Amino acid sequence: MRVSQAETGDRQIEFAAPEAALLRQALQSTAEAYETDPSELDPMVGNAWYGQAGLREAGIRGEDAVHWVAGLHEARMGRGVAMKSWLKTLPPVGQAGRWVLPKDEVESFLATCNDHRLRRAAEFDLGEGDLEVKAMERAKGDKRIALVEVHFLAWIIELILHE
Amino acid sequence: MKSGTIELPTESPTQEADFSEAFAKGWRVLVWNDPINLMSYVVFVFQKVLGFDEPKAKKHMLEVHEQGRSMVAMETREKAEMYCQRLQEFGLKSTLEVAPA
Repeated sequence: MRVSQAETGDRQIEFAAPEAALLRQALQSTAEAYETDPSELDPMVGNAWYGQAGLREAGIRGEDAVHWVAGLHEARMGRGVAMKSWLKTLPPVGQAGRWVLPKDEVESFLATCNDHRLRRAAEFDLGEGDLEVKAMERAKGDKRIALVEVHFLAWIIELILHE
Repeated sequence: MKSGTIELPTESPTQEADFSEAFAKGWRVLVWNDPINLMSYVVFVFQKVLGFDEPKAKKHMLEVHEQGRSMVAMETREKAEMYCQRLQEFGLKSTLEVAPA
């Protein structure tokens, strides 16, 4: 994968076929999770995206807390339009290719990639130790897949931020 | 109410205290450490949401990383809530607290 920045500020990303497929899969599953009501998410994921720790202490309770979570959910669902366009324009499954991320969608894209990392980490209760490369090599099955996604999206985020 | 006079609404001492508390810049926005968010991403979010320049964003990110948390803003209740919610939209662990009087 290679990222470059055009004069317009758009990011051009060269994907190998498996990279594009992995990103597509991550975006599709995160889009579905964004559409899901926060109360129906896996509780660990719900806590990672819509956690209410600290709200009660700040006097945000009852209806105010409901509004707070609804605001967070709305912000995530608001990324849906851009996500649909990303899924349309990514290289087709099984193909390598160049993908253009418009400048004004960079922020949403980074937040979406980060949300996917948070979700997968929450699903497998991943901690600092799990993120070491050796731990990924030892991991098996679905946990290993989750770790690959977490590391892969970290790589994309880093490349975009450093370009 | 007597005709021809306007009765002003009265505020209880508690309401007054609530108002002054809400409008005083005594609300802290905290960001807490977590193992998943990347350092570079946290710096990016601080710049976007809080308008920090890069050195300030890095300083607060390192505080989060090394001390477990950083106070990134001290504001009125409304503004502090806005910052806290925006940080949460980006997936950062952010909370609010009232600064001790």
